[in-house]
Amino acid sequence: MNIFNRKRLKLSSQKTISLLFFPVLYPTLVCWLRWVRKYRIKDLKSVRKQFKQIKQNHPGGLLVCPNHLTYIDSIILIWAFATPWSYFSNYRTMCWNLPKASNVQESWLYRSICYLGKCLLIPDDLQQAQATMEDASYLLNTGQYVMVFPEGTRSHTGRINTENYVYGVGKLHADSPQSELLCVYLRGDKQQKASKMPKKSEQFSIQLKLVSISTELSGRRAMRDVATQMIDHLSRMETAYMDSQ
Amino acid sequence: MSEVFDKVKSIVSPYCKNQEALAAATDSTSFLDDLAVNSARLVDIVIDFEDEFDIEVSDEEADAIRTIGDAVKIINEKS
Repeated sequence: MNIFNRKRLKLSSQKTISLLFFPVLYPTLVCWLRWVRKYRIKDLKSVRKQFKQIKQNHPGGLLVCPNHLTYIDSIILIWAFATPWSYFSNYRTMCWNLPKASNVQESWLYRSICYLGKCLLIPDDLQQAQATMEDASYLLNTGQYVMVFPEGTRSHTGRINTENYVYGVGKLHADSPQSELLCVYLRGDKQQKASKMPKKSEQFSIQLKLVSISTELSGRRAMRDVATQMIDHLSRMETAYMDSQ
Repeated sequence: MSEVFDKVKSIVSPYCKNQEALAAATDSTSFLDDLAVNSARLVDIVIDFEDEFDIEVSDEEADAIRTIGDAVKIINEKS
């Protein structure tokens, strides 16, 4: 079996197993978010309506790029983007995520949740991380939705990290067939800087913005240029959010 | 040390979190482990090498650059 087929089999197996566990895992996580942590998403209906529209306009999959402040940003966003019925009927639209392996490797429970939650873990080793990014690129090229944090890590200042972001996400977009990607700004009212978890009873604001990003550069310069444009868009969304408060 | 070695050191300097290690750097000094360069910044460093020495470094060659000596070797081969 060649590498391409192995990759396809590995990812499609994960997707199938994840779908089988979805009816148990998703409601459990949402119950935990809503009733144990008492989180609320402002204008949830509007966020879901916007995401639905975006899905309809991008049937070929999409790269989703949010800012990053807590370990559970991707879970909150998946909850916000669509209803469980919507995901169950079109599982492709539930985003794949790329968390750092080091954040979850100590706990088999977290690793299992990650696997079942369509996560591809990014190891610290550069070559292994590159292989994971290739998997993500394959997913994007086959019509899947992939969520990646362009900052690479949680922002310790609480603001978009415009200095030390990663460029790998730029390559992901440059290699994808889509010209547009979805920038997402997520922030809890009480969130001042990075933390493992948002505070209890937190209320989240979510802004979605489809942006078209292209570059005339090639290779690693294109990668850097695209990543910089993503960060610029997120930074502008953050400024708009702060101005509105 | 060679002129290329010194230029490599000055290019790496803005990205280097361990300036003491940079001051005492040898060919075997690792960018990530010894100089504490953020792995994401290696891309910037390679682009700076290309601009400074007017060379092109392929992805495979860039991936193989782990130490100052690796960088000097590739630059000398291409200049």
